[in-house]
Amino acid sequence: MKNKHHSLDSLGYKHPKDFSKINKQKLLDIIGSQSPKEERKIRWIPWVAISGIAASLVFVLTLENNFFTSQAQRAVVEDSQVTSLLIETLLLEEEGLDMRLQEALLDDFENAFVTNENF
Amino acid sequence: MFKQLLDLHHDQLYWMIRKIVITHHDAEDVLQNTWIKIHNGLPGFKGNSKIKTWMYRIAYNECMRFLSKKRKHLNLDEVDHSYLDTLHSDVYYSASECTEKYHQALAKLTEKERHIFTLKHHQALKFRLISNLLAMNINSVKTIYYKAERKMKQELISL
Repeated sequence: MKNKHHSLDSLGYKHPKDFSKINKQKLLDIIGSQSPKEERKIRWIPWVAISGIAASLVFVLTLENNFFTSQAQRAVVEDSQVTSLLIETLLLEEEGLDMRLQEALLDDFENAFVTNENF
Repeated sequence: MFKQLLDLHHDQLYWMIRKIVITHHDAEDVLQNTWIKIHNGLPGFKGNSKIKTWMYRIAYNECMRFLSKKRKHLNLDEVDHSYLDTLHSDVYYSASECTEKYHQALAKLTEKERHIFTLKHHQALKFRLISNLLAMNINSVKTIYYKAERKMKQELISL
């Protein structure tokens, strides 16, 4: 049987002697032993958050760089394709012009030959 | 801040918890959980309510959590038939014949009636605070209190 001490309470409820004082100290000890862990946890939280944000930014920037590079490469490829197409068109046009000139010259020659203008 | 609160409210919270969970050892456990929660919640306390109300609410919620764990079926609108057994099982309870009769009358109240009656009559808490603790309308709390008081008088006369 534990040692009983009469408290001021009138309903027959008692508690151990110096319960209030002892329990307050016990509670302070319990909370004191918890606090460093909590503080350590709290100290780590911003670093984890900052690292996470930094990693995300690096990842996003890497992705964006790849995106721009690929877009630039695609533009260069497209530019060279357009240039070669234009050159080909020009060459074709030149060929066409040559053909037409030759045909015209041949026609003139034939006409002159038929009419014996210069022969 | 925390130490000041502990010094000011430790005993009041203990007696409030004790009268709800009945035994000293259970009250000590619930009180410990209450103060840990108060300590952890203090930095986030926004001051929307009075600190006393906030602390008593934590304490009452801890009591309810404890009773729910202890009893499979906790219904505050029913009479707790184990009230006197729990009371007598506590080594830190010893009462005179008159007080024992008083507890017999209290045992006839439903759990909610007993909580409200005890908080008002023995802890001298205001109706508004009790209504906050129990998350009830203040008029309902008053009605239950006066009904419990009437029941207590009738029981004590008949005993």
